[in-house]
Amino acid sequence: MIEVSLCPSCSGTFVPTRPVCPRCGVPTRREERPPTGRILCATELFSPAEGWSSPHRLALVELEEGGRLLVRVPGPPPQSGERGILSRDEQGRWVWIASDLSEGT
Amino acid sequence: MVSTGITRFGRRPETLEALLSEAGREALERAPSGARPQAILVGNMASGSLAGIENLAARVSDALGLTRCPVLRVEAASASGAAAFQEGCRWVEQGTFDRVLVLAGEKMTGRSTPEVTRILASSLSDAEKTLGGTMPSLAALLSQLYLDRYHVPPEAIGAVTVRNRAQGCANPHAQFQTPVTLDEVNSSRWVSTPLRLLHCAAISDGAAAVVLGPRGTGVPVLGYGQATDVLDVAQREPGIGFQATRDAARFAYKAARTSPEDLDLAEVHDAFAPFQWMDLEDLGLCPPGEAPSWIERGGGLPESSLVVNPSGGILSRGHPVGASGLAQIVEAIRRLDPQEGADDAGRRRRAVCQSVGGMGSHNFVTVLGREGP
Repeated sequence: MIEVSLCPSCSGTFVPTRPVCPRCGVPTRREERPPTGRILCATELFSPAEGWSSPHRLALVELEEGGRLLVRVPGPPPQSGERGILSRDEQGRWVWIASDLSEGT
Repeated sequence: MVSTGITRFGRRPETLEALLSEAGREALERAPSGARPQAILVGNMASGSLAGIENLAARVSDALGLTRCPVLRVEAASASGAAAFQEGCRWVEQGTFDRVLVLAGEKMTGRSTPEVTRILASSLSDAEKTLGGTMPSLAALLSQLYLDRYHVPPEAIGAVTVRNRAQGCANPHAQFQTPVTLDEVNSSRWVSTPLRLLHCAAISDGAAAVVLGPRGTGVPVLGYGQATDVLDVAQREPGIGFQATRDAARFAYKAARTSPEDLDLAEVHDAFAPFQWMDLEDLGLCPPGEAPSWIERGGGLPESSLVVNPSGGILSRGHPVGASGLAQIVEAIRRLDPQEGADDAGRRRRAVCQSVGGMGSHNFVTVLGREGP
């Protein structure tokens, strides 16, 4: 599961979690969501930040039950709209690990 | 505004203080009365990390021989120059000072590209940095969202670079004063898909300056606004472009009692070519999704009713990050004021300048020009 923060005022959903809504300034509450989602967009970075190898792939993912987050993509570059599962790497960062989920998975 | 100054942008051997002083001296020499400024503001993003110096405002006042007036450094990431300008306007409007020298500059070429990439990424959220996010990679994601939403082919991005580089050929301050072809743009190396090298502004050195005076002197500042957005791009309201630009424009247009239809000159933040599409739409100068076709049809050319980035924009001028927001304003003033001597000076009557701080987390919009309908 993936932990998200929900704003009771604007219904904003935030990952990683944060104690206060950045838009409304009110305390958020935490919920867990299934780590499944779809790719909003992805990029292959050929001039990566120090400590990363090229190409370094990143994607914006929309969780199926709401919330968006930036993730690393260790595998081949995904396509916009592709569905898949998130997992954590050894440092605890979210990565896109699977694709080709069939409808209803 | 009373007078302006600007250095040549590009790889410069001088120190940051020397560049700021060069721009400042030019502005002071061009001021009609030559009166000494009562205060100095210095826009700068990262002099400590990029140039190895702090206490920048005091250093510059020392270099200019103006040590007895109040000085202050203003930081708003890559919009620092616009932020300093707006703060200077406030000081003059509120009557705190009659004459303020606003400077903005950055010295970047003394660092390697990986070092600059790391320093610029320090304006991003911790979550983005932890994942290896950089300014180009986040700009690429926002660009891809735009392409997908409006079904624009990635090859269309190059038209922005070709246009701005063509216009930059006439700008003696620009880092790049040569045109590029669409083939050259579309065959330049990838930086972060869908962005190629020639879609991205260059690391640069440079500075700009404006002397602000009381109402009735020079080109009037009609209105200005700034706005912030959630730092983490993924945590913002879903949408295209920058909400912070839309909010800043709303404040600026209201203060200026103007609307996008009244504007005939725009200097927008094209640090990454697709940003120019987003900027034009965020400012209400193009309907959503129509900026690419508008540009390809010739919209924004010097002969158009609205000219966009006649200076060549950041893609031509280069992007010494702290300087760019004020450089836009200098370029606009020189085209609005018949006294400033640009080839097309005085043909335009009202300009908007838009500057993006960070990855759209702190944006500024300024409206300049003649008052009245």
